[in-house]
Amino acid sequence: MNLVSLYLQARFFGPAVVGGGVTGCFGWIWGWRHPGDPTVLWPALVFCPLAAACILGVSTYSPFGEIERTSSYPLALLRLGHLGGVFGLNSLILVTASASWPRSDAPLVLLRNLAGFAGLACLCALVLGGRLAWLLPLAFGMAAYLAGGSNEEGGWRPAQWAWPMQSGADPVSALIAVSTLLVGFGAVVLFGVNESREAEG
Amino acid sequence: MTRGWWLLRIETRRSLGMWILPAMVLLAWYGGRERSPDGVALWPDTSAAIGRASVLLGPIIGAAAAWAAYRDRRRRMDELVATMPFSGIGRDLTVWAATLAWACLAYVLGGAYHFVMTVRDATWGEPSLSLMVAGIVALASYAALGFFAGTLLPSVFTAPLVAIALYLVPGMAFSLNHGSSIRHLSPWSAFDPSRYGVLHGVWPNDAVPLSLWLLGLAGASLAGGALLRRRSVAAGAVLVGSLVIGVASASALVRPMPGPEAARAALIPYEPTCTTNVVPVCVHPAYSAVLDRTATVVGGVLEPIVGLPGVADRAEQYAYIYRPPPEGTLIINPYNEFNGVDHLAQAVAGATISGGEPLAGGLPPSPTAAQCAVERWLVRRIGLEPNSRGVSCMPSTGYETFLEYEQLNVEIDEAAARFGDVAPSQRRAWLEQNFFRLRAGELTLPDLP
Repeated sequence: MNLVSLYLQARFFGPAVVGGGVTGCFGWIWGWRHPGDPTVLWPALVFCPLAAACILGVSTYSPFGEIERTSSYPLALLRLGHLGGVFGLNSLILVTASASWPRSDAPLVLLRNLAGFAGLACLCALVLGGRLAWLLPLAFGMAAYLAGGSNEEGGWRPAQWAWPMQSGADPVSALIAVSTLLVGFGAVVLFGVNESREAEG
Repeated sequence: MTRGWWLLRIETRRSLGMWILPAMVLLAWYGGRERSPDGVALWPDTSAAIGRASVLLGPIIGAAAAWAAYRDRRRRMDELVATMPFSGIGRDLTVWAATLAWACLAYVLGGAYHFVMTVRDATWGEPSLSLMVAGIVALASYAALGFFAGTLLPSVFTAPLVAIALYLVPGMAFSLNHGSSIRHLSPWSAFDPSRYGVLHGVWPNDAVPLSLWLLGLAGASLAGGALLRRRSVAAGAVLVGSLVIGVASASALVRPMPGPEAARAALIPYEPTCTTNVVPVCVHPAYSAVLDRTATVVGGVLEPIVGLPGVADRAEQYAYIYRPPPEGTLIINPYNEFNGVDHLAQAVAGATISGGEPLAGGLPPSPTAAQCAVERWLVRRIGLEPNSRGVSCMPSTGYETFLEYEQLNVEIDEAAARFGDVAPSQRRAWLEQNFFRLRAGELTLPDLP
């Protein structure tokens, strides 16, 4: 139990959940400030899960390197518990924050985007290290947001690659997001993140 | 070679910007695309689009600067570096400049592609260097703000949160403040598509005051960072000077947009190019390449209703705020990547059926469900799909939840299909009898044949 606690502390588990909470509060305030207008919710639908995913990605940073790998305890289990815990808690926070939003598909969009961005963050952590895990989801999220407006009246339908901007009922974007999450989580759980400091600027 | 130059070289090689250069070039290329249709290349649009790439690159480089700002502390080297025979402020400026250099390189590389393509294909206008330079100044400002945030709040979470804030705050200041002149302080405003086009070029061009405002912001952020490190008269003076420049240029930016009189005076005269397909269709000569396709869409939509009272007998690319439009003219915008031919078809159908008098100014009233059914039929009968880009006609009332919205959407589609199944002669007779009431919004879905 002590090992699990120390592992989570080393991975900023507390700050990551607090960060998710702050993001959720921002989303709740955003929805409260713009009642009755589903299209104005898009910034919150994209950037709240993006922020939560970036925080999750950064929390994969391993401060101990090789020393940690000499542990007799299976690291994959700890990594899975850590990632699953942060992801689950942040999902819960975001879904709760969106309860009052004037969109029936808001929880689905938030969960899908959190899953996809978290997967991208993990893949980025695998290559660039945990501290820079935010780069890929951030660049992709901003490009996708710029690529698409809303799908409702007055907007245009974004290209399929911009899956964070699709409606919650779109099965292809949900499939892309879940696949990205599974690949990203799987890679980090099995192999850990890149611990080379070369790429860390 | 001076110590500063050597340090800049070292910092440039150590910068995170080098690692993310390919991604930044891609973003600069993507952000710098302009949306003219094939065969049309306009310098005002390209200039603004190249500048607009900065709003996409800026948050990334702001995050990279925030990351670089606390690098020494992160590696527990801050005390060691402090013993260097080089001022701390100078070191900070070097780190900021090195990070910025990579963003500028990406901006130039991404923009160069669009610039060269427009040099090759331009159909109208001249490049606006001030807009493109404003993009570089915006990058400097984003990097300085990020650097300041990284100095103030050194944490592993600072960089990504800074990037999101640098994207959201200017974006939302622009998007959510319609009618407020505060939005002109956002870099998004200077590159807004409503500010450029073939009718008036880049107008009003706020690139210079925006650049000064952003320079003031950058100077204040860097001076603020220097003051956090060590209080000095020079940093204080730079802070005050930057604030003065920033406030002065902000006051020049925060003003209402020029009215119709000034807009009319800024209009660049031209002789339209025309063709006839059911009705005469005219566009600006820069859009000659898309005239035939535009005329096909306009003519196709109007064909079943041409001759009915209130239906335009001519269509022209035109902005009615500049001068009174000719009698019976439908105002159109040629299609582009965002507003495709389906959007053009929907706009023509909408202006004719539910847009009130075609020549009326201001926003049209919300369409009724019956009007939407006829509009969707008009668009579908020429092989276009009104729902393909989410631009389909939809009443703004009559539903409260997403499910009710979807149900009404389906009912309108069913009514449109029924209307399309009616024999052409019978449909024309019905239209001749009921078109006035349909346009006035007096009919409901069950009233349609």
